[in-house]
Amino acid sequence: MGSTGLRLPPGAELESESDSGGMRLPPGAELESAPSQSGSEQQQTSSGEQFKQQAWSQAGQNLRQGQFVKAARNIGSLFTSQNPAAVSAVSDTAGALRSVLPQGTPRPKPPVATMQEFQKLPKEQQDAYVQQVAKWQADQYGTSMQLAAGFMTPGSAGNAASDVASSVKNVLPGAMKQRAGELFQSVSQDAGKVKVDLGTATQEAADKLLGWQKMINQGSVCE
Amino acid sequence: MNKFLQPVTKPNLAPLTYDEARQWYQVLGNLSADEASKLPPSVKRDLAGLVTNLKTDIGNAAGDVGRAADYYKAMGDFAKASRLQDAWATYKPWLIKTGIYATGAGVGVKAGYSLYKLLTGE
Repeated sequence: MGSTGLRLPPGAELESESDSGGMRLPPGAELESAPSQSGSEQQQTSSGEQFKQQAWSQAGQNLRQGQFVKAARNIGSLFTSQNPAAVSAVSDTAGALRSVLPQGTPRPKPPVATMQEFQKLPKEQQDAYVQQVAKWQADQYGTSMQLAAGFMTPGSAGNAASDVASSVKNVLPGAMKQRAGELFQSVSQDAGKVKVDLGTATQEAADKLLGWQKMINQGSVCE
Repeated sequence: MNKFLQPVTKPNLAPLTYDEARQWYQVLGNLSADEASKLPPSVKRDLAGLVTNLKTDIGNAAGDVGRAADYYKAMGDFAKASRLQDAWATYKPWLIKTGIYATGAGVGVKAGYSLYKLLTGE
């Protein structure tokens, strides 16, 4: 079974039972805060490390819950000591990414309704469901997480970059624009000489703009 | 803009072709994006309305040859890519700052920059 430190309310989504699944977190990064860690060990951890751990932990939780923007904010806070401008920039980026990432398939439905019932299931059945959810998570958020990992992973920077390169190729803006341009050209080959029937709304808007232009010109003459 | 408005508001002139309308759409779209802040709100609103309606008219022309779906898909993809690029433009200063910041922490600066170059094409 996956991690046991999860604090899920009764009936909460069972996906939280899995470990990191397909998402590639940096080595040593934890998806869960560890409040039960021994006191002496925790005290020895620097405040920076604690902050880092907390941010990763929270990011992992948010990712599991599909709250990618929040996760990105957590990740952003790692580098910036919660600099609001930077966190906002990460959020914007995350939002834009989310808008272009594929929606994916629906989440696998749990075989039972509550965590208690789930724990009573045979281990094979539990594992099978956890694997299903992990795969779904990886499909849904893997690319996003890899993007973040590309910035974060200490030991596998090159791998992260190349993974990202291959996995997000289809959502790169340059590539998207190129494909869109090719599609425009293709349409233009068929429709290039077709007469455009300007609708009434377009003509009205053009009339209004022409009116504005005349007023502005007259104003400048008067001045 | 006047070059566009004059023929559009004079129906006796030859109508625009798809290609011509596309060119105007791009000009007006860029105008509304770049110079919107300098325009009075009511002019800005009318300009935005013109761009939106022109988009539909061009789509209808593409539809005449059965290519409306492709036209709208290309429009949508282009807009998404632009939004993404805008977001990364916002991200750029932060990333540079982070790269310097992260060196001391031993974080994957190289990966960050590779990714940045990859996404922005810069």
